[in-house]
Amino acid sequence: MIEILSFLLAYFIFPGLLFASVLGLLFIGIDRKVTAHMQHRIGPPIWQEFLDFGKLLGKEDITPAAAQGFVFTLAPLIALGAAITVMLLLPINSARPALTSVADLIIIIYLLNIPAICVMLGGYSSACPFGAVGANRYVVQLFSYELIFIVTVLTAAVKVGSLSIGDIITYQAHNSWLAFKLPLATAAIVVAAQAKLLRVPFDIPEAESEIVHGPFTEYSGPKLGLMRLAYAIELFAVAGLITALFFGGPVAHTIAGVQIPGVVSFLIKTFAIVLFTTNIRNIAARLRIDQAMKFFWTIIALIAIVNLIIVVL
Amino acid sequence: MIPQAPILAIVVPLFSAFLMPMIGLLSKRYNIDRACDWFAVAAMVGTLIIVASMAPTVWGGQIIVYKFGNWSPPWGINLAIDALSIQMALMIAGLGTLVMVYSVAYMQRDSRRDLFYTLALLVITGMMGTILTGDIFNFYVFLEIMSVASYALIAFRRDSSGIEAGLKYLFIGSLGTSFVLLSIAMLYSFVGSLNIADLGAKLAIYRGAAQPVPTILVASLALFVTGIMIKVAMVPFHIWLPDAFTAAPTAVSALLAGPAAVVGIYWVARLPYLPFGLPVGIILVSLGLLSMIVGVLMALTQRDFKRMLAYHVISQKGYMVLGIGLGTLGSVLGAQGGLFHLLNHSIYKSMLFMCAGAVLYRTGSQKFEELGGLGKNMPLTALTFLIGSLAISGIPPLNGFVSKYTIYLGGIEAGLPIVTIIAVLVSALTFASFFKAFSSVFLGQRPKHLRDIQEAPKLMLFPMLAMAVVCIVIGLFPALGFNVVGPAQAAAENSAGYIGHVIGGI
Amino acid sequence: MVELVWDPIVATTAILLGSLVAYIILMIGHKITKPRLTPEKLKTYACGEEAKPEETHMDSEQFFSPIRRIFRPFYRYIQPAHTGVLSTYLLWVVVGFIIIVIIIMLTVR
Repeated sequence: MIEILSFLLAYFIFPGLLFASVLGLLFIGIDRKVTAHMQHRIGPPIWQEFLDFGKLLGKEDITPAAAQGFVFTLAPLIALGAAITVMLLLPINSARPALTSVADLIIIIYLLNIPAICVMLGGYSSACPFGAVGANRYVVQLFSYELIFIVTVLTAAVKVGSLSIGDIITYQAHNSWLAFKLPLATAAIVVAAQAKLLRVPFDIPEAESEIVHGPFTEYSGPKLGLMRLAYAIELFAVAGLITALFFGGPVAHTIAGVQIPGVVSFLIKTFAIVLFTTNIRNIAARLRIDQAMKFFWTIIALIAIVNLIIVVL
Repeated sequence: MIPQAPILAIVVPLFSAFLMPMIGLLSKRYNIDRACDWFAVAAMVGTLIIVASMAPTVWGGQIIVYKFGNWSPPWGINLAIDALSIQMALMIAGLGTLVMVYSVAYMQRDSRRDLFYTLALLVITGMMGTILTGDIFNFYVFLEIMSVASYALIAFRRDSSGIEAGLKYLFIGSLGTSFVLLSIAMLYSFVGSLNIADLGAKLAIYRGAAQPVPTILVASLALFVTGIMIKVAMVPFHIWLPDAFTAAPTAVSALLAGPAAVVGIYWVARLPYLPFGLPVGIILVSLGLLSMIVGVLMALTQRDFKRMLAYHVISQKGYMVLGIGLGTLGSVLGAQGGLFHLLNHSIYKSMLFMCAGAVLYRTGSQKFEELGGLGKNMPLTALTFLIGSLAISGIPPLNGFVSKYTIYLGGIEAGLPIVTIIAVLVSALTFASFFKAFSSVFLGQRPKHLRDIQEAPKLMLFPMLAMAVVCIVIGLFPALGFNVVGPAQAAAENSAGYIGHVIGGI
Repeated sequence: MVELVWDPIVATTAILLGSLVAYIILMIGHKITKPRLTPEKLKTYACGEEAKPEETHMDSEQFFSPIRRIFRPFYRYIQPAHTGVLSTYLLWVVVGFIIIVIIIMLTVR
């Protein structure tokens, strides 16, 4: 009984729905503010994403007549469910995540793919040509970055010698951060995260000036709000995964006699990664899909595989 | 266990096949419409009960040995059933029953249905015989029964593409079975015995390079391996498969894609241990990798629904052969993953072919350009196709994920992480290809000429939904699958136990 | 018996629980505003044009053209090799058999 209660508590409050959504939407808000200042304007307040979510809940929810309603409605629901489940598997407060399992790195990677699949299915089931093109581009982009993700995560796992994320954090607590030992893999996974989170220069599937928001075109009202919430949680989860794998994860410090829990250092590191991707987002321009795929498959794949070979040998 | 169960499992489909033309005549005389169909289903259900009754004995650790006419091996023919055979037999009987129920609905517009059921039951007989036998020439006889019946089944509708596909399969398949026959002849001339256990015992002196291997044994092994690889459709012997599965009636494709793969993989699993016992791991791993990659890359650019599914059959069989090859290189997880993938693949591949057949039955076309937006008209078919696509791409929590994950771990365990990376890439490409198929057929805008399409008939839906439920159940409780596959893999490696039971315990 | 390296029930329950929460949020949104549907709102968005269903179907062979560009060596040599001529196929079988003989001779001896 206690286990079920603690599971529900972890699922809904910390580090599940409430914690992840508040922080995810907050990070996106800060990202918009920083982008605005880099573009020499003032921009929206930090709370803008919360206001957007509330506004979308009050709008009409229209399913197009030609769409397949069942898949169209189901896509945001499963995306949000999978995103929250990933948060349960990440170590937020200490080296032990809320849900432990034997080889959870692979499970995290697979669960992080499920929101992508839901977006693709939603885009195609909306029976809109823009949705179809966006979903098609998303499939190709998934194929590009997936290899890099798997190779870099395998590199970290082979270096530590275990597929469990708790072990990786304990290893980094004793030795230095894995980012110093595997710099090439860190660079590769940050670029792959840029593609996974659909940020410029890889926001080809939802290219706003080309295909009118891609798979999300026909979504409106609460469903669009749920999709954006799932995106926010996914941003937090991917940045959190990179933090846990390569930058040491949650480490509890004691400064001047005050016990600071590991959450604080985790949040600071995650925030730094999000700011770094914001930086790249404002500097670069959007690529074409075959340019992006060639970029991933030649240069980044080379970097990641070189690092894997260095670790294995 | 039902008494005489091993031989009954072969005899029941065989005699039903022989009785079928008579039932056809009687049904025409007395104007009973579907007598042949239900008789075939009853025969398959009987076979399933017989095989299921043998299962608890074998899983208890015993190897059932049935001697023909009470002649003891190695002079007489015997049937030997261990855990590997019982897994394959259960799959053939179970999936055969579901495919028969499906063909009751699918073939109802065709005229010579008694011929169809005769041939289909002969294919099942051949498959059962190949799996249950303990004598290598008996294996060849049943292999030929299965192959010739499937050549005829593919050309059943006598249209031009069917006859061409059947002829191609006939030529390449006959070449394969003649290779197997030549290999058996060479083995017999060298060793003097035709019993698998006896061959294993007599060839055991060449295992582990204790003595130099004579050339005739090398030639025999090469011929046998080539013959089996032609049957399993590994690259570069695979080219009969896309034509055959596209042109055949879909019930035949479902029958061949599910159960008939079982026969080839059964012998691939036995091959490194019995009767030769020589290391073929490198061949298995490299052919498996090659088939995986070639199959999925060819499937990405197909315009025809069933042809794409056929190329994916080649790719997934590559996974199984890869897993078993990794098993010979020392990874237990690899072999279990290969056998588990066979179990899962037969279930969801037959289901995918059935969905394609349902769409073809209702709309009359199997090309992606002419289809679209059928998700509103055929919701249950779309749901089962979605479950099948997610299963074949290896998305949790369905059963494909468990078996592919076991193969990935097997690759790392055997010390070849490059294999794991290629396998994951092929999974991603499989997902991309099935996403295209699902979206082009069931999602998107619906053309005007498809507005009045109805849902598939209930008799077609029942096996599809049953298989979807099994997919989900095995995905949520993988222990069920591992209970079947674990003893099977242990029994495949335990060739000494097999030999001891068959020859030793007379 | 191998020990299971994955326990799917917990993860599946978690996903379904999250979907339930999302469904509740969706229902709250529907309670706040009911959709007032007109035929114009239900039409597919094509920037103001009329999109005919036959025109919006994607070509199935060029669907993955970026992937074809990456694997261009494969598609240049191996795809045309699937010619359909039976004699070529039998030649491949014989070539494959010879390669297998060579591999077995090298590994077994």
